[in-house]
Formats: sequence, C-alpha cells, structure tokens
Amino acid sequence: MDSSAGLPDLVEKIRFMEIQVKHLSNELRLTREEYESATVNYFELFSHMEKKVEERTLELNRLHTVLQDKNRELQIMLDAAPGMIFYKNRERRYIRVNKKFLETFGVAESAVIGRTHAEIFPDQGGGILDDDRELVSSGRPFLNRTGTIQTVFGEKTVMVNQVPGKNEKAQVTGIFGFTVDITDLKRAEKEKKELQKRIVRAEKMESIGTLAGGIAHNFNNILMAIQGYASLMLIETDPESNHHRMLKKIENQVENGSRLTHQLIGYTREGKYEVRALRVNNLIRDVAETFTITRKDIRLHLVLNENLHRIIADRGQIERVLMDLMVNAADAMPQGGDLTVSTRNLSYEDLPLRPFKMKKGAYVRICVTDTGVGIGKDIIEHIFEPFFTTKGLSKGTGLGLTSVYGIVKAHGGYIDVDSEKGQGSTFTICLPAHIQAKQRPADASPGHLPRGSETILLVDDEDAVLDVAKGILQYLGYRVLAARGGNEAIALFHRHREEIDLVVLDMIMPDVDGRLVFDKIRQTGAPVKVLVSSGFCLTDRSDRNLWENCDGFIGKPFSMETLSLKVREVLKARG
Amino acid sequence: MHPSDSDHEDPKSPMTALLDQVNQSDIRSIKSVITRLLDIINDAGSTAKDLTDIIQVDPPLTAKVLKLANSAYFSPREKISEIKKAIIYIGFNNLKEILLSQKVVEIFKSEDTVQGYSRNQLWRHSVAVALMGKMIYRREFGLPGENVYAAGLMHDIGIIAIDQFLQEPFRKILHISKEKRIPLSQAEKGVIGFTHADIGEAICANWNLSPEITVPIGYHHTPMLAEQSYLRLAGTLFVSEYCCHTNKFGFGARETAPSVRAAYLATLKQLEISPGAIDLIFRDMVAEIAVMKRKGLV
Repeated sequence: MDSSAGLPDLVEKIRFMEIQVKHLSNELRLTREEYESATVNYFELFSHMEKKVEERTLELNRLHTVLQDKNRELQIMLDAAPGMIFYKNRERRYIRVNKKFLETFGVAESAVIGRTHAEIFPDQGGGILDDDRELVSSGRPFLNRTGTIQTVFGEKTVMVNQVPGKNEKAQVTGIFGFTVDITDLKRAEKEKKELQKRIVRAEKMESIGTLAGGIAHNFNNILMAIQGYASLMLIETDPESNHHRMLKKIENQVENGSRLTHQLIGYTREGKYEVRALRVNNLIRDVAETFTITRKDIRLHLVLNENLHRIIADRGQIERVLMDLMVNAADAMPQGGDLTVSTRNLSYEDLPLRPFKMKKGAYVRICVTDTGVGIGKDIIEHIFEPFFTTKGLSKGTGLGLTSVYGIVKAHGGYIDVDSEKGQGSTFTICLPAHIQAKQRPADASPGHLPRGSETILLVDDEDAVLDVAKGILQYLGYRVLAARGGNEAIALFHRHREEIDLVVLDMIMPDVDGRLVFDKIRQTGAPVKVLVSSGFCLTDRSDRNLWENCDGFIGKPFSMETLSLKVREVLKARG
Repeated sequence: MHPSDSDHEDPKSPMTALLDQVNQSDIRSIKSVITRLLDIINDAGSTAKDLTDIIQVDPPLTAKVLKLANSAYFSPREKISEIKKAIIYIGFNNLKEILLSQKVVEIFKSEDTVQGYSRNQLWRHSVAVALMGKMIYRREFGLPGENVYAAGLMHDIGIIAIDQFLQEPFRKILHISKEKRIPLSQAEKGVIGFTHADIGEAICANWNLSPEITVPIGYHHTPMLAEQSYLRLAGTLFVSEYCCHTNKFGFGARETAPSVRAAYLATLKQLEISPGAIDLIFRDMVAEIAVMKRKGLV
C-alpha cells in the first residue's frame, strides 16, 4: 500500500530529476562550448599581446642601439676636443665630462658625475668652473672669461665659455661648458715681453758701450801721448835725478789711468791682446783652481761638455771674465753656497737671445750660476752699465761687469743675466765657436828693449800718438814712415812698398778706416807684416779675417817696452 | 527592417512622435554602444579585443569594468588597470552580459516612483526577466539564449519612453490599471492607443537591433500572435515576465490577472516546458541574482 501510495510521488520525483538532468546536461554542453571559444579567445588575446610585446621589444632594442651609437659618436667628439668640455644640471652637478676634463684634474669619471665642482675639489675654493650659479638663474651665458685652475699639471690659465642648456619652454636645464687652455699663450706673451726687454737692455748697453769706448779711446790717446813724452824724457834724464823719479811716477799714474780706460773698453792686460783658438773648459778649470783656493765655503760644480767647440779669444780676457763672474757669484753668497759653471755647444738657432747682428754659426755657451741673494729687477736693468756698483763707492770701480760685457761683446758674443731676489743668479755668455782651429804663434820671449833697423810704416790719426811712437821707434833704430790717416798711409805704402817691412796700423781713423787700409795692403800681395794698434778693442765689426790675417795686435797706449817687444816679435816671425 | 510598424498601423502618428522624442533624448546616446555590444554577442568569431575596443572609448564603462575586476568578488592579486587583464579576470562571456546591462541600466537611472511604479524596481524586474529567459533557453532548449537576455533587459524600455515623454497619460494609465485591475498594456491601449511593447519594439527597430530582439519585445505580452519563428523567443520572454511578476520581481503593475495566467499556461504548453522545470529555473535565477548583487551588478 505504501508503495502504491508513494508512486505518484516517486513519479513526480523522477520527473523532477529528469528535468534536472536535462538542465545540467544542457548547461554542461553550453559551458563546454563557451569554454572552448573562450580558450581560443584567450589564446588569440595572448598571442596578440605576445606579438605586440615582441614588436615593442624589437623597436626598443633598435632605439637602444641607435641611442648607444649616438652616445658613442658624441663621446668620441667630446674626447677628441683639445679643451675640457662638461655638462652640469640645474643643481650644477656634473652630468657629463670629456676625457680632457678627467685628465686635466686627474680624477675618475665616477668621482665627478653627480657632484658639484666644490664637492669634487673642496680645497680649491670655487674658481672659474664653480661660480656659475648666477647663470642658472639668469639664463645668460658667460663668455670668454679667463681664470686659473689647479690641475695635475700645475696651475693652468683657461678661457671658459659657459652657456645655459634650455628645454623647449626656455627653462634652464643645465650648463654646457667649454674651456681652452691658454697657459702657453700667456707664457709666450710674457716671454716675448721679457725678450723684448732684454733686447732693449742689450741695445742700450751697446750704445753706452760705444759712448764709453769712444771717451776711453780719446783719453787713451791723451795718456798715450803723456806716456810717450815721459818715456822720451826718461831716456834723456839721469836715472839718479829727482826728475827721473818723478817721470817714473808719471809713467805709473798713466799706467793706472790706462788700466781704467782699458777696463772701460774691455782690455785687461796692457799690451797683450792675443787672439787664438782656446779650449774654454781648460780655462774654466784653471780659473776654478785659483778660485777654490780663495773661497773654501763655496762648493764649486763644473758641468762641462767635453766636446765643446773651441773659441777664438784672448785667453787673458776670457780668464778675466770668468774670474769676475765667479767672484761676483761668491760675493752674492756671503754665507756660502753652490756655484755652478757649465758649458755646452749651441747653434745660432738655439741662442736664447740674438740682440745684435750676431753671426750665424756655432756658439759656445758658458753659464755661471750661484745660489746667492739674487739681483733685484731694478738692479738687473743697470748691472752692466759703467760705474754702476752695489758694493759701495769705496769697494768697487763699477767697471767690473762693464768690462766683462765689453770683452764678451768684443769677442762677437753676448752676455745676459737671469736672476730674482733671493733666488740666485745665472750669468750666461755665448761666444762664437771656432770650428777650424788655426794656432797662432806663441808669445815672443821677453827681452830687454830689442832694437831693429827695418822700415816701419806708422799709421795713426792722432798727432800725439804718431809723434810718440815715431820717437820711440826711431830711438830703437828703426826707419819710420809716418802717415796721419788712412789715405796718406795707402799713398805712402804704394810709394815705398819695396822698402816697408812692417805696418803699425791704427784701426779707427776719420778718413779711411784701418781695416780698409789693411785690405788694400793685403791686396797688393806684398809680404809685409801688419801690427794692428788700437785704443779700441776688437769689436764685432772687426771680422775674423782681420784677426787671422794680421800679424799681431797692440793696445794703446803702449809703453816703449811694449812697443819694442811687439815690433821685434812680429818682425822676427818673418824669417 | 520595420516589420512591427506594419503590424500596428493604427496609432502611427502618436507613436512616431514619441519615437522622435526618444531619439532626441539621452536614451539615444546608449544606442551605438548597445548596437556594437549586441553585434559582438551575436558574432561567434568576435574576440576579447573587440570588446576592449568598445570599452576603451567609453570612460564610464571603463571605470565600471575596472572597478568590477578589482572588486572583492574577483579580488585579483595585484590591482588591475588594463581592460585586457580585466577581461581575462571577469571572463569574456560574463563581461558581454555585464556590459550590456551596465549600458541599459543607464536608461533606468531615475529613482522616481509614480503611483507604485519605480524605475529601480523596473530595472530589477528587467534583469530578472533577462536572466530567467536566458536560463530557460540554455536549460530547456540547450541554446545560448543571448538574444533573449538582451531582449529581456530591454523588453520594458517602452514604459520608460512613455513615462518620460507622456507623463500625464502615463499617470492615467497607471491609475486605470490599478483601479480596474487590468494589465498595463490594456490600459495603455485605452489611453494612448498603443502599448509599451509596441513603442519598445519600434525604438529597438529604429536602433537597427536584430528582429531576434525587436520582435520578442513587441510580442512579450502576446506571444501567441507572433510569427512562428519568433514564438519561442517571445514565449520565453512572456513566461519569464509572468514568473517574475508573480514572485516579487515585478514593479507594481497588475500583470497577474487570471486571463494572463491562462495565456501563461498555454504558452508553457506550447514551449513544452513543464511547470516544475520553470520552478527549478526560477529558484536558480533568484540565487543567481543574489550572486550578481554581491558582484554589484544589480
């Protein structure tokens, strides 16, 4: 009964379940279909996205490569620039700098990027690369400013252009900087000025020298006359008499005066002017030996080039120059110190200074360097001038360096000085080198007033000199032809050329120069000897031809003894 | 494409006037989006990208989709800010319906309640009818039922049009329907000469929606009068609507008269659906609405 009563219920339940089964199977089928289409959909969506990503990645990679290339190009350009280039941001922190910048400051790039100049170099106190704050606010460039910077190569002078970097809205985004190192330019400018100053100084010295030389020459002739007359009077005076003694005194005083004028015009040893090829190094060693004996507190260093050219010079004069310079150096070092004498060869092109019309060819340079008190700028200007002394009037004549200057100049060279107060001094002498050495005959052995009977043509424009010399020579037994000037000398020579054995020739004469007379005589081919006499030193105008072809040289005023010895010596060399 | 026009020739001029008003109003602004959404829904070859394209050009829609994808219901691991990702999370099929309802709801946005009728309730009713219609199609007929869903969402769009542009006649219609206890469409016929089904169909036809949507809307109170090929669609809509009206998913209209119930039972028979199956589906529909509520979709 129960089962029959429950039947409709059961049927209803079954039907209900059938509906559910139908609903569920339909839903399941639809859901599966939807799932499938969704899967396709998602797959497409993903593949589409993947493709997009791939494309975008490729494009990004390409752009990245382009950027890298551009960046590399830019870096090459920046690094190839001769000056420093940098870019800072608004906060004035370095964003980019070139190789020159890193080299100049000796810093690594990592130490620069992202920092301000003051942060990188805290102890430099700003400077021209750090004072651009205003540029950021004003937006106006700083152009052609010069300043100094501390670099690994020392202090450098730079010219800087700083321009603002701006965006499209004209807002300042940073600073571009370009620098040019103008240190060398500045130095060259300074050196040029210095050189000019030295040339002016040298030229001034030359004119002073000429003036002093001229005066000395005239005084010399006067002294010559006094000397000559005194000599003549002595011959006729009883050696035991009072007059004889006084005449000797006159002679002594004339000698003193003559020494002074000789100093002024560059002579040293009376009556001796003997040019010949010299080895400067040997000379320096000799002088140094004498010198070290006098000053033990001074360490002397010789830095000598052993292949040094020889020079054509008067040994005594060059000795005098070296000694003077070394004594000067020693005086500059009262507490002792180091004195260095160095030599080396120089070409004409290497000459640090060419103040006069110096000859082309090789030169020898001698430097005398001390570590003493140095010479102030005001003094350097006048140091070679006659009668200029720092030693006090009682101590020096003020002619020491003038004489040095005269000697060097007479040898066709020049002298210059470098010094700064407290920094020591260096005297530099450049002398023409003598490449083909030709030994001159040695000094004649001194004798007691040698006499002779040869015919001598005596040439001098000064009556006094002419009279005195003529008197002396006639006294000594010679036959004398006197010419008062160049023209007369040439005329006389032509008239008596067969008789004349020796010409004593003055160099400086108003009408025809002694050099010209010399040339005329030599042109005749006559085997006549020529003894050059002059109150003037051999200046640069006296060429090597004269030096090498004359037979001797005698400085005025000359004593009877000097003249007799010299004339005899020259004549003797004939045979 | 206006087969309905010729069927209801009598009240032509007042209905055309109403149609013109609708086309000049805000309602029209959703037209293009709905049209394109329906194209995608009906095209088996459409992809998530097509959906993305629609959403991206509509900022309020974009905001809604992203809000939904980031809601507690989906709770993604990281915040979703891309439409494509949102589609993956929400699901392509889900999203199609969500988008459609989100767009249609714009028509129902007014909160006014006029004589026991509220737009809110009408919207709730429309969603329930659409959902139920779709479920009947899926479960009973084994078909996706997407047109039914769209038609369900918009089947009462005519009421909105009448409410908005024929306010006085509409009050009268509501009054008569209440007093005489007659269905709304019957009162409409008496007062304005045409029903909300007529004007709803005309609006959708004017928007160039397919006949699979427009015809069922036009016949959702009279499915038996529809052409044979639209009988199932119209019938399903009618059955769903009746169930909703009788089970608290109505909006205050008197749609449960005995005559309507007879038509309902006849339609069920015609569609070969057992009342038990309808009960089952209705129950699941209510549960589904609850889920949608949680998602914030209703």
